[in-house]
This record gives sequence, structure tokens and C-alpha cells, in this order.
Amino acid sequence: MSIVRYTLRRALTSVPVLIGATALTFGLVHLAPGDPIDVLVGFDHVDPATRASLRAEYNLDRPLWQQYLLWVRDVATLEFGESPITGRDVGPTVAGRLPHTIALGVSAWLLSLAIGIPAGIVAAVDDGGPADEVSRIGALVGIATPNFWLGLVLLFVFGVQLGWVRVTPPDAPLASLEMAWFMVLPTITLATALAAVVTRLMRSSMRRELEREYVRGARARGLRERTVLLKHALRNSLTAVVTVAGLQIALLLDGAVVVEQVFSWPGMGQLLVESISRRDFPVVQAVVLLIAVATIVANLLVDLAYAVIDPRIRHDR
Amino acid sequence: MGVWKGSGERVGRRTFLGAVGVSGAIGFAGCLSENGSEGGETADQAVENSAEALIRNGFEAAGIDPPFETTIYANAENDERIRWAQLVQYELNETDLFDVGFEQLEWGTYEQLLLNMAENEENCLVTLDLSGGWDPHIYVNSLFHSAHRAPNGFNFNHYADERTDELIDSAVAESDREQRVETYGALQERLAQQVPISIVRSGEEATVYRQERIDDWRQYPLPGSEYDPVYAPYGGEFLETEDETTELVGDAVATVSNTDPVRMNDTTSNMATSLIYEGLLAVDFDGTPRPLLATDWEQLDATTYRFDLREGVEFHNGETFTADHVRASFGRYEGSPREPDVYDWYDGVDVIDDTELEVHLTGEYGPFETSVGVPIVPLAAGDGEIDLADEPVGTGPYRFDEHAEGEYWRLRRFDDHWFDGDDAVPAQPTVETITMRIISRPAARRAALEADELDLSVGLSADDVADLDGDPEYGVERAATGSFDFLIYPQYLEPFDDVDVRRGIDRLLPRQTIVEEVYAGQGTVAYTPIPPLLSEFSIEGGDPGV
Amino acid sequence: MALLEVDDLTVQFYTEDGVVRAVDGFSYEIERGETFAIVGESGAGKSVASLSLLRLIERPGEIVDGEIRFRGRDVLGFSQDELRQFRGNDAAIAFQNPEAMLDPVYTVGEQIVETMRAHDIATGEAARDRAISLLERVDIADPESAYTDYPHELSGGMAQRAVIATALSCDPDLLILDEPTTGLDVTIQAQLLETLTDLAETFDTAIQLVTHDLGVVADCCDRALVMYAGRAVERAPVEELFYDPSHPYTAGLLASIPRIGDGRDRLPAVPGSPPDLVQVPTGCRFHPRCPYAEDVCATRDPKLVELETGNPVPDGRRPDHASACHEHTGNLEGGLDYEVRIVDDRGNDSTDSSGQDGAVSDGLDGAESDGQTDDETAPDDPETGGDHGERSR
Repeated sequence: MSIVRYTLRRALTSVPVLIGATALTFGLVHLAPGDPIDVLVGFDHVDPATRASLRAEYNLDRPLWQQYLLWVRDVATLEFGESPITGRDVGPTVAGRLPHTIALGVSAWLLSLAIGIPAGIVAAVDDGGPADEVSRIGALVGIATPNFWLGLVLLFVFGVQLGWVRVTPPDAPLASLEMAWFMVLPTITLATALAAVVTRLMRSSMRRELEREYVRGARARGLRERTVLLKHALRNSLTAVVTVAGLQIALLLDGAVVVEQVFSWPGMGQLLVESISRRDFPVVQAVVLLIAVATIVANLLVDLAYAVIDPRIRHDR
Repeated sequence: MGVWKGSGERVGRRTFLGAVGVSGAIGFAGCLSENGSEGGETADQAVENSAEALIRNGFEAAGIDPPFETTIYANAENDERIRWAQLVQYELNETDLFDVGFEQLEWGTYEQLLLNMAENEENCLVTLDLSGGWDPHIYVNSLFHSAHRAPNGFNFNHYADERTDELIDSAVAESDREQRVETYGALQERLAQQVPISIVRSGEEATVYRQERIDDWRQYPLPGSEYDPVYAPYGGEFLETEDETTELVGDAVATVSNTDPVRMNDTTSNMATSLIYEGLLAVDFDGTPRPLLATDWEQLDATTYRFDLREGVEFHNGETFTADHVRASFGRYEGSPREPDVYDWYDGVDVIDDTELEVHLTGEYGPFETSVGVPIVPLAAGDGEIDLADEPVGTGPYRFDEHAEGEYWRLRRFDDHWFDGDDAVPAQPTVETITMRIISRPAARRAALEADELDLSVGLSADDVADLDGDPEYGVERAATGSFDFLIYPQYLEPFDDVDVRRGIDRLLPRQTIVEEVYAGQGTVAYTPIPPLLSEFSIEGGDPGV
Repeated sequence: MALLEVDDLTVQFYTEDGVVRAVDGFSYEIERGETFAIVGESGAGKSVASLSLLRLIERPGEIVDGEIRFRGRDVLGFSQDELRQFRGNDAAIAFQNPEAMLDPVYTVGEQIVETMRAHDIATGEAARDRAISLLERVDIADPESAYTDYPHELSGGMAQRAVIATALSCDPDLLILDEPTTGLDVTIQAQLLETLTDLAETFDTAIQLVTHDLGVVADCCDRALVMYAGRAVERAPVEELFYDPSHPYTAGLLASIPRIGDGRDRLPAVPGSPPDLVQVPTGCRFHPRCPYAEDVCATRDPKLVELETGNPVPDGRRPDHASACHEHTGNLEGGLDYEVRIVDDRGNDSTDSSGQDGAVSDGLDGAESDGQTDDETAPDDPETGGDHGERSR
């Protein structure tokens, strides 16, 4: 089956996932006590009629399933509604944060792979040797370091003590040198744990591949060790890493919540946290939808990457 | 307007030290020292003995064998609150009369516990803080009036006392100040006898600024007006920067969520717009109502006030301020989320001419002068021509310039502001732009200040403020504010229904330790629900129930 | 000078249970263009011996002693780069499991070309053409499509051929084939062996063929070495080995050659199982399974001696026929009481025939009967074994 058809089929099968994910969050968010109107009016003794009319304004008086269907209808036309809290359109609000999160997420993701894959390879090749040990300890430390703590330490050391980087984002466009420089610390903070995970995974996966016959076979054929490792063992090990690298999208968002706060980064994580605490349902919904779509797309890409990496998968389908 | 701290940006306030886990040790060391080496041991002992005796009486009356098991709660986002709750837990357990557990909950769950504790007869002691404004009514009404039992107010433990209700009702419907002082005095005494909750500490607002940029700063006591000292002709304050640069950079602890006055529901949005919007009156740094868009006012009878309006006032969008703006601005509150801000007292406006009007009240209203200064907005806002939620427009000395969501909020000097200058304040602010950087982590705020990316910070934790206080690079300006921390008793439940038990516990509360150890000396010990900020009304200092 | 000389090769594996000598003092040599067989049961150390030649033993294994000389060059002394150039170019190997030897994520063609490129044999179009012609040479029906196939898309026989094609891609002087016929059905086996014989002749490539299957040895080898528990127990030209097996283990192996029609490709060669190499038996390693074992076998370790003279085989020398059994040094009282019966293609048997194929039976009575009880599809009769010679015809 062609890649295109396969992609289309996967995209279609993810629609129920999307519906499930959004319905679930819709339920969770709405069933939790309190709604945006409570937040808006606080606990002031607002006239019940006023309360009711405010609720009606945002359809909050309707049964949950109706609210959900209304929401789905709007979203189908890319209409994300208006936030009852801010009074602003949700679409632009979320879209405004998206580039920041993507920029940080992608750079952290790339950094974690750029560190984790080579470190994992070195560790696997050096199996049991000093480099393996160093990478093992490094990864352990990386995984165990809470990212808010790491972020603050980096912030104080490089921002405050050494003054090499800014502590808050500069007034510069996202795609600018100043911004890129500022992003170094948050990227490192966000990438550390991921890099650690990738390192360990890469190591074990590479280790497993190195023990396979084809590696010995490749050596027997007189290939250069670099070719054996990087062309053969690495490509085979990548399937496992690609899986995790794809799943990391979710992890990245989780980490972004903390890192974005530490570095005052105006991304989706910050928005999500604030919106949840303010019961800003439409914003929460839009963000969750976006995360769900991102996760599905990431999984799709992972599957496609599998197919590229491993012909057996390509043919089995 | 009452702001329930913890519900918004106060969530997650924690210190750098607290985050790395030192806080627990400090808190614990604190309570040891109080019982150990502090002076006046015999006096303390006496208080303790009498407190324990009171509790024992209560237990006997209820037929309870000590220790009585209960749990004290704090919300996980608030480190200081957790620490002081644990101090109280420790103190109570020391008596052997109680077996108190401690639990922390996420804010959402915590909120539900608070709102439903009385309904569900929860056996719990709950810690919280509340901040209010310039009038005592705000504090006592929501907390103690039987009409405001949760979830319709902050009367979480469903305290109901006729005398209390009467005093609250009569004080608010009284515009004679002396009369009100007397009534609130009586109310505070009543509450001190009844102890439905225990007030522990009254808070303090602090701004830390870089000396090289700012020579002097005056703290506005209430949250929401943190940046007013930059230019506040009504209070005789303005900021002269040390150097020629005319940009001031400060911080904001959360995103600016909504800048339309009738939907504004958090202090950050208030703060962000406080220099943009002006009302008829403003309450100055000492709590005295001052003319702003009104030049003069007069109470005609119990329910009528006449205002002379300032001439030559221009809105940022070019409209000229008239009496119609006042009527329209008040009217916008009807049916809005912030309806009570105005409609608690507002009955209508008679526009006499462009510069004169009469405001009619639904009844005599004590806090009128501190309540009437709601933002006056252009008519274009009512027509839907402009959306204040996106772009606040007022008559203030600064106009909205730029909002990078989640990043910063910027104001620019409004060159056509009406003020002509006087002895204390020049006709124009020296600061041209004010940038409020949105920094949600307290530790990051401190870092930004230390990295010279902020000229001032209005959101440092108590520990950080104390830390920078001795540093010559920084200036620290503090002011007692209208907030207090308190402990809620489950007074619907044995043995807490017994006033002796509550009074006994109240006496055992380690208030001094809490102020010194948990809040690094920020704030003062407190006993009554009217903070010392309202010095005229507060009977602070009186030992309750003795 | 022989093409390959192996002297006293010793390979150890360090396992949790202890040190295993998978190959213990192994010596042999292979002449240019010769087809040499290493025969033994699985676990005897055949594969280890083969891998050692290309220094492909990995941790926890280690070549601890001995010498490997290829055209007189010391293989064990090669630098990493010399070793790399030696592998695939001078000596190539095809593993026991051909499909596993190739990287599953590259096409067969890519891997053949890659091998050639690594040794500067050919690049680009030339490499491609050469690869396809190699695939054709190993009798792959549609070499063009095999070129673009991934290893998993090939059948077992095709994969074996593809691996051999890969191994031949750089014109090696020595081709090591580890159980090339395992897992293939009989017809394919026969075809493959024919191809191999053919290739060896055309390319003048020496072949070291590792197998447990004496039938295969008979079909295409010049000389053979029988291995037991890491040691060489008998070494001889193939004909001599079949007509005159001089070690009881060899005799046992011969007795269990599968016959056509019995549907099995592997029989228990000899009753019992190979010893645990962590704790090898004292004396002759084969004695616990040997029907002729005497006291001396359990105490004294027999040396590999020339049958003619009874003298120990000196390193690097090539005796015609050597065996490691006390019988040949006169230490065995009872002697080896088995006879060799030659069965010709027509089913007539005699004890002394010039037929090409030999099947040894009996004398090793216990051997055969035990083998049968272990395996329900055992041959009915040694006589029918004569048919097996038909296979390769």
C-alpha cells in the first residue's frame, strides 16, 4: 500500500481518538466544580438572574452533551469561541502562544536527540567502559533533576551571577538572534530529562542491535566500524528511539508548563495552567485539542518514520 | 471588592528556599524556639494553661475524651500557608488535647472543601487569607454575615449570629463616620467573644526596587494599584527616575486577563489598568477619598450625592469627558459579572449638565466614597466601538500601548492628561513607558530584578523581600495592607461549637512565630477581622475574649 | 605455504559458570582452491573456530592462544585497518543463519555494493552490474529483483545464495561457509552444493565448509576435520575418512547420516550429548559416549597422531590421516570393533568398494539402536542408507 494511502487511513482512524480525547477533557473540565462565571463574579453576591444570564451567554446552562456538540460544531468551522474570562477570541489567543511553544519544544526536542543519540551510541559501543559509566550517571542525574530546579539554577548562575543571558525574554521577534540566545537556557532545561531518556534508550536499543548477527555480518564483510555502527546498527536502533521521540511531544508539553513559568516564556504551557485555574473552558479545550492533534500527528510521523527506517514494516502493511 | 487570595495569582507563591526544601526546617525550628528559649516563659505558660483549661471545659461539656482527632488543611500552592498550618498543628498537638493531622490539597479541591465544609460537616481546620479594600464592610460582611454563608460568600463555616448580622447591616447603612466607627468597634468585640474564626496575621505589601534607577518609592497599600506611585496627582506622588531613561520596567505576577472594568476579576488586570482608568474619586495612600474626575462632591441627603466634574478631560480615544460618561459607565455594570461593585448601592444618576450630576443610592451606604471611584470609560465602549477587554481606554495619565500576551504589558504616557501640575507633582510624568513583565514564578521575579531586567518588583516572596532588604543596591518599601490570614473552625461540629474550645485554640495560636519565621517579619500579628490599615475602625491590639 | 594455517588455536568464553574452551588447540591448514570441511555436532565449536579466522569472536569470547596465518601473514597481529581489509576481501564468511547475517533494513543489492565499495572493488553502475551478475552466478532466478529485495523477502535458499554472493563479491581467496545447507530442503541443498563446487572451481576459491552433515562433506569436500568438544579428533582426506574412519566418534557420525525418505535432516549423531565444556571429561573427551572406552580413556588424553606412524602431528604439518584415539598409540586393549560397509548406488554392499559414497554402520550397535529409540522416524535399516548417495546426483 502506498505511503499516501496509508497516511490517509491513519489520519482517518485518528478522528475517533480526537473525539474521544476532546470529549474526555470536556467532561473532566466541566464536571470539576466551579465554572468560569464563578471565577468572573468571584463569591460576590451577584444577583442570581445576572449569574444565570451570564451562564446562558456561554451556553453553560445547557446539558453537557449539548455544550460539547455546540463546541464540536464550532470547532469544525475552526471557530473556537470567546473566552468568558478574557473576553477575547480563543483562536488568536492560542495561536499567539503556539509559535513560542513550538520553538521551545522543537529546539529542546532536537537538542535532546542531538545529545541523547550520540551519547547512547558511545555508551553502547563502550559497553561497561568509562564512557558508558559516565553516560549512565549523566542520564541518571538528568532524569532525577527536576526541571524547575534546574531552570532556576541555570537562571541564577547564567542569568544573574554571570549575566550571560537574559532572565526574561527580550523584546524581540521570536525569530531573532536575541530570542535564540535567550532560548538556550529554557531549551537546555527542557531537553535535559529528555536527553537522559533518549540516551538510555539509545544505549539499550543500540546494545541490542550490536549483538545481532547482521552487525557481526557487516564486520565480516570488512565494512568500516563507522559504517557498521552508524549505517547499520544505528538505523536499526532508531525504531525504538523514534517511538519515544514521538511520545515525547506529550512529555515536552508537560515540561513546558514548568519551564515556561520559570523562564516567563509566553507559551501554551503557561496558558494552559492559567486557563485551568481560571476555569477558562474554551481556552482549555482549544489547547487540549491542539495537544491531541499534535500527539496524533506525532504518532503518524512516528509510524511513517518506522516505515522509512524499517522496510519490513513497510511491506507488512 | 473582596479578593480571595489563593484563587488567582497568589497561587504558587513560593520562595526559592522553600522550593529547595529548607522551609520545613525553618518552620520547625521556629516553634521549638518559642517553647524553649523565648523570654516571658511564665506568662506564656499562664496563657497556655488558661487556654488548655478553656478547651478542657469545652471537651467536658461535650463529653469528649482528649485527644480529639481533626485535620488542618492548607493548599499545596501556598508554601507559607502550609508552614503556618503546620505550626498550628504542632502547637495543638503539644497540648495532648488534640490529635491533629495535616493535609495539603490542590487549589481546586481546597476550594471545594471550603465551600462545602459546613454542608458536609467536615471535621477540619482550614487556613486561608482574605484581602479587601478601604472599607471595613468588605471584610466582615462576606466572612460573618449569615446571608453570605458559603457558597454565596466567604462565611465558610456557616456562622450565624443575629447580633453580628445586625451590626454589619447597620454599619453599612450608615454614612456617619463616627457612628460607623462605634458600630464596627462593637462588632469586633462581638466577634472576639464568639471567635467563629481566628485571625492570625495581617499582611503587608512590599515593593523592592533598584536604587540606581529609583530613589524613592511609596507603596500603595492595596493590591491593584502597585504602579500608581509612578504618577498619582491625587495622592501627591510621582516617580522621578535617577537617570534620564524614561522607561520603567516592573513585573506582574500573572497574565493580564481582562481589562474591561465590568469583567475584571483579578488584581493583575487591576494593576495593569490602574494608571489608564480614572474614577470620580480616588482613595489616596492613606485611605482618604480625593477628587479625581470629580473636582468636588457633597452629600445632599442620606441617599443623594452631588458631584462637580472636571472640565477639559480627554479620553485616550479623543472623547471629551462629560456627565454622560459617568452615567454610561455606571450603567454598564448592570447584569455584568462585576455588578455588585456598583449595583450594591447605585440607583441612578441625574445629569444636571455636562459638569454636574447627582448620584442616587438605593439606601444609605457607608462605604460610598471608597466605592464610587469605578473606572469611567468612553461612550465608544458602550456602543461596542471599542472592546475594553482588548484595549482599555480611559482618562488616566497613561494609555495602553502594547500587550504581548503572557509576556508583557506596556503603558505609554498620555500627553493630553488633564493634570496641570502642582507643588508636589509636575504636569507630566517623567516616566514615558511602563512595562510590566509577566513573570509567574517568584524566584524568576527575583532573578529578573537581580539581573537588572526589572527596575522594581511588586511580587517578591516575603523571604526574598527580607533578603534584599539589607542590600544597599535595593530599596524596599513596605505598607500594611488590607489582608489577613485566618483559621476557620468547624463551629457546626462538636467540640468546636463550644466557644471555649475556639477561644482556647485561638490563644494557643503561635502568631508571633508565624509572622517572624514563616513570613520573615512581613506583616503583623492580628486578632480582629478589620486590618490595622483601617486604623480608625480597627480595634487591633485588644486581646480578644479576656 | 598453505593459504591458511591454523596452529594451536584456542578460544575461550568467559561465562558465569566458568571458562569454556570452545576451541582447544586446533591446528589445520587449507590449500589454495581446496574445499575443507570441519565436521561435528552442534556445540562442538565449529562456528567459533570459523569466526576466529576473521577475528569475529566477541566478548565474552577471546582468542587466547595459537596462530592464524593467511598467506603467511599473522592474522592475529593485524591492525584494525588491516583486519578490516582482510575481512570480506581475502577471506569471506557466510553465517549459519544467512537471513540474520544481512541487515534487514537495506536491500541485498545495497549490501553487496557496500561490501565492494568498502574494498574498492567497484562503485556505482559497475558495482551494481557486478552484484547482479554475482547473484546470477549463485543461481538466483531473478537477480534484478533479488538485488532490490530486502533480506526478509527472500526464501531461505535464496537468502543463503545472496549471502554467498555477498561473500564472493570481493573475490576472496577463502570462503568460509558455516552450515550453508541447514534449514534448506533436500533439493535446494543439492542445488546449492552443486553451485558451490562449481564456484570453487571457477573462482579458484578455497572453501572452509562447516557442517554437521557428513553427507554434505562427501558431496563436495577434499579434506575434512572432525571436531569434538572443541578438539580435532580426526583429520583426513574425505575418501579416507569415509572408508576408513579411525576415530569412534567419526564412525558414530557416519552411522547416522540421514537417508533419503526419512524426512529428517539431523539425527543425533551419537547417543548421549556433547559434554558441558565448562567441565570437560578427563582423559579422552569422548570416552563417556564411546562404546569402546576403557580405563585408559578416562585418564589419559589421546594425542592427535598420524595413523601411519603413530607419531604426534607436528604443528603446521599436514599428515594424510590423523586421529586422536588411544587405539592408534596402542593403548587400547580391546581395539575398535566396528566395520565399514560400503553400499554402492545399486544397493549392493561390500566391505571394500570403490563407490564414492560410504555409509558406515554397526559395530557401533548401541549407537544406532539408541538413536532409533530417540527418534521415531529413524531409518528402518542401514541398507536403505545406500540411497542417500542419490541426493546429489
